[in-house]
Amino acid sequence: MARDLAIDLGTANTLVYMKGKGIVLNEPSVIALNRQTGEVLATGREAWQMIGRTPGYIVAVRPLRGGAITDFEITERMIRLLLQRVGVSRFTRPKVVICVPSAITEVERRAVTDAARRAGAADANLIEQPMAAAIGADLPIDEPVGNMVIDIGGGTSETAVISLGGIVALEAVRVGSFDIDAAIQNHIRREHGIAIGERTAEEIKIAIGSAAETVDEATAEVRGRDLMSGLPKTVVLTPEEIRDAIEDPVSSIVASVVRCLAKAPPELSQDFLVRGMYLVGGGGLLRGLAARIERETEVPVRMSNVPLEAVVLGAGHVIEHYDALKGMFMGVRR
Amino acid sequence: MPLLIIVAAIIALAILLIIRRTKRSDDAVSDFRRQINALSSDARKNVTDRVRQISDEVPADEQGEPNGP
Repeated sequence: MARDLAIDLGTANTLVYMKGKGIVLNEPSVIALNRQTGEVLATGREAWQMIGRTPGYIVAVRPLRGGAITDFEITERMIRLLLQRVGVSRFTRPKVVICVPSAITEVERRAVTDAARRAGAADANLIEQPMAAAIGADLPIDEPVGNMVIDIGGGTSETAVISLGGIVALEAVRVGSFDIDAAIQNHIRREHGIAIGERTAEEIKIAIGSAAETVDEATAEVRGRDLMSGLPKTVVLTPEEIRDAIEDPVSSIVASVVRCLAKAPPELSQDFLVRGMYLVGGGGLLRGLAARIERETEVPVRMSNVPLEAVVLGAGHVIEHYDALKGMFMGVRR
Repeated sequence: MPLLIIVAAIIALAILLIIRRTKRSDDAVSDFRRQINALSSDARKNVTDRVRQISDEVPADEQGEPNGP
C-alpha cells in the first residue's frame, strides 16, 4: 500500500512529504538530459551542479518557470523519477497533493495533474501555495482573524489574506528570486562587460544582495568572461550597486504586497497591525526584504521559522487529514 | 380517487425534497466544521512538531540557498 504524498513543485526546489513520515525529499527542480538520445542523466542536486557546466551533448534544465510547466514531457519525467526515489512504483500508486501558484491557468493546472497521474499518482489534487504556506507556518487560519502570508518563490510571489480556512484576498505576480538573479546577471553584463552564469548570479545575491540597507555590508569579487576579449576577468561589486540592480523585481514584489493589503476587508486589516504578515519561501531570505516591506506598508513583517519547508509541511498536513480538508483543493466548489 | 393519489404523490415528493435539502445543508455545516477542526492548532500539532524539529536542526541563517541546495 502506497503512502500518500504532498509535493511542493517549485520553480527552484521540489520537496516531497510522505504521509506519516514527514519530508522525505528536498532537491532542486532540475533535470539533466542527453540532448542526442533524450535519456535522463541526472535529476535534483546532481543535475543542479551541472547547470552551465555541461558539454554540448548534455543539457541541464529547469522544466518549470514562473511556477508553470514550460516543458510538459520533461516535467513528467522529473516527477516520475522523484516519485520513484521515494518508493512509488507501478504497483503502489499514492494519492498526491501538489502545491501550485494560485494564479495558474486552467491549462497549467491540468498540465500539473496530468503530469503527476502519468508519473504514477492514483489521484492528483492541487492546493494553492499561500494556503499551504499559512498551514505550514502555523498561522491560526481556523479562526475568524486576518492572517497574511507572503510567499516568495523562485518564479512567483504571492500574498494572501486568509481567514476561517479560506483565501479572502490574493495578489500574485510572476516575479521571484530567479528574476532577481537575472537582474544581477544583466547588470554585470551591462555595467562591467562580463558574462556570468545563473549560479554565480545567485551566489552574488546570497553574498551581498539586499532589498534595503543593512548593517555590516561587504563587497564581493566576481569572476566571469570578458565580453570584449573573451578572457576570464575579475570585478568587485558593492552592495549598493546590487541593490540598485535588483530594484525592479524587488519593487514589483513589494507593490503586490501593498495591492493585497488594499484588497483586504477593513475588519481584517486591523488584525495585520497587531499580528503582522508572515514571510515564507526562499526569496523571503533576501537580506533587508522584510524590513523593506515593513517600511513601505507600515505593517510588522515576521519571518517563518521554516521559510523553505512551510509550503510542503502545510500540504503534508492536508494529506494527513485528506477527507476533512479535501474541500480546500483547487477547483472544488466551496 | 385518481385525484387523491396525485395529491398524495405531490405531498410525498414535497416532503422528500424538504428532507433532502435539510440533509444537504446539515452536511455542509458538518463539512465546514470538520475542515475548521482539521485546521485547528490541536490538529496541526504534528506540523508544529516538525517545524520545531527542522528549526532545531538548522539555524535560520544557515537554511541554504534560496534557489539551490
